[in-house]
Amino acid sequence: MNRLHFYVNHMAERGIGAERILDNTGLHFDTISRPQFQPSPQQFSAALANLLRHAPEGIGIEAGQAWNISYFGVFGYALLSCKSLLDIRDLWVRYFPLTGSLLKFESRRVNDEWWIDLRENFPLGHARAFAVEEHVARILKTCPLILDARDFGIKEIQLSYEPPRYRHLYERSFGCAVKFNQRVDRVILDGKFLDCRLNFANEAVSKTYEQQCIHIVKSIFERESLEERVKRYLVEHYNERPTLPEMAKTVGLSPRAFRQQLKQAGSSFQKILDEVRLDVALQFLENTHLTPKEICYKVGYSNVSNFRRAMKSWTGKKLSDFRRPVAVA
Amino acid sequence: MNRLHFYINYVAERGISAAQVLAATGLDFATVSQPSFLPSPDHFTTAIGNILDLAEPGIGIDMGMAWNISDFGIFGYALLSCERFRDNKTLWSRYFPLTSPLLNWKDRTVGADWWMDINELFPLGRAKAFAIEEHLARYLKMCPVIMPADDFGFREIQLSYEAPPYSHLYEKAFNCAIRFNQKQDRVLLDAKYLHYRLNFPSEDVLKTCEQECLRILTDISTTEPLSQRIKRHLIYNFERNFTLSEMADIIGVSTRSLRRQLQAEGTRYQQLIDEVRLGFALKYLQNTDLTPKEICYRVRYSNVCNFRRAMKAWTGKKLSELRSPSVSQPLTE
Repeated sequence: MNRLHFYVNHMAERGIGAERILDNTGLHFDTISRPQFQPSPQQFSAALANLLRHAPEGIGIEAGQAWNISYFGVFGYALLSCKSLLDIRDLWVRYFPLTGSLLKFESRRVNDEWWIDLRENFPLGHARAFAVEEHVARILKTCPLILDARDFGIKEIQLSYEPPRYRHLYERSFGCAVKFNQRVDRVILDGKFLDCRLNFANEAVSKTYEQQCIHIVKSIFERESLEERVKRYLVEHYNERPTLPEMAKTVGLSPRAFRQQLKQAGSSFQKILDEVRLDVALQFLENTHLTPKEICYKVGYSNVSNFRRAMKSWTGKKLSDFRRPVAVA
Repeated sequence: MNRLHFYINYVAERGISAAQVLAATGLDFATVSQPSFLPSPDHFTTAIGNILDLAEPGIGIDMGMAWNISDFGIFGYALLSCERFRDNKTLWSRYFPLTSPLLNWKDRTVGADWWMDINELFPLGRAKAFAIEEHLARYLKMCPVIMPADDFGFREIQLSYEAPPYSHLYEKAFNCAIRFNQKQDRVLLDAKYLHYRLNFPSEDVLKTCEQECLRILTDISTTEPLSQRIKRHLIYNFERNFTLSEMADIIGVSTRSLRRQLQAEGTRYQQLIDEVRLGFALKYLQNTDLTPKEICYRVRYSNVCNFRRAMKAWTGKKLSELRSPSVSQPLTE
């Protein structure tokens, strides 16, 4: 079950129909419930905006609690059969496309604590709180089931945003200190859980499941055209700015073959790169309060004039036309 | 990891070596640790006997508690991925040979009561208490982990044997009414658990796990001789009789080819049946106080004379000579 399908099902149980969540995405319920379906980042963020518009406050917490690691199917079982949380972390990073996640984890041990920083995969705007709530609730739901530790809990949560109106839900659901207006979004766990045995560990089986994950990732890539694949990669790594040879290497081609194949498809690396940058810029414009200058640097333009011009020629509109009145209010 | 392999790993941490566990079994550790190896009943009774001689009392409970569902390998994950607890029953009936079992069980529910009768798959002798301790402890360990049932426990345990000297360990571990010297080994549970949703349901995973379980079963059956496979089936279903054509159906070959393959292995179907029955009889003679007459009926010989004659022909010894000295009085020579 892909993530969008999960949200639609969950909202349906709350009496909010699929058509409202999928409004303006160009998607139908039949499409998203197909096993092979993967929403594009654009479709996804449009659906997420609909969801946040219709759902009650704190829906992220609820969605995280309703979720189950086994919804990941074989990938979930690869995680389940790991021998420690660190192994889970490694698999998560390696097969990130299978997580369908909105946030990336960057974790490290600091003295006797484990810090997990949650970073955006693409600009989420006000969906960020939702994504963070969901991740924290998932951690709190899953760890007590898989860890051989009755006393599992989060030590502290630091959040980059202001306390929402429903902050009491955070305190009630997360059971730890929650600090707002911090520099990063961070979950702090007691380091002892890293050494904790997992209930369902089996190295041999984990390897088998991992093999199947490799197969699944491969089949996702095989269905995608080269252009789609490069685009997906660039969206997911919009702040990395790979060069053409680097990108070619990522998709397993020589720079020459890479260039040729894109040319045959009537495209080019530069063209895809521009599209992605402008698309990401659009997300920032619509969903955040960042200034054009800040956005321009974030998406890798060297100066604001070029950026303005590119946006104008791509969309036919001025930057200010994109600012959503709701985002500013 | 088969059950015997698990035992060896467990006692190794307590200073008992693989060689000690496998003494007189004819096995070495390399054989036991092969993925497709399934120990025979004799392997089990001998190895468990060795463990009981060397380990502290109540080791069955400790081993059951040390076990994890993932030690079942892919079969464990199949159980885990079911929708509801009751779905586990189907998987057990299909793939339980993969667990290298010592016991089987029949259950029935009456209202809110869920009774589970536990039977030995083959005569276990003094390994029986061990096997039951292990089985119950595994259950206690597994259930609260696979489903939201923190309160999981037995309501009552009935055991056919006498209270062992370490029966206080039973009370501590099982925390319910325990009655010894009962007619049947059985446990009483709350039937509500059957309807519980498991923690990690996944149709996809269940499907792939089942395929893998089937593959392993097929693997085992293609690497072991047909005669051994038939014997295993006869042992696991000892209370039933199978005609030659029924057995051919189960194995998935024609009666003709079954006959021919067994001939190629130098045996016949009737001979396998006799070997299994006499093997059971020998175990009863050596491990229990049952009279020859009782044993004769248990292994389904129609009269004691035939039974005596068959045992003599098979082992070259008289029944009295086969009694092990620890159980029966030594005979005057």
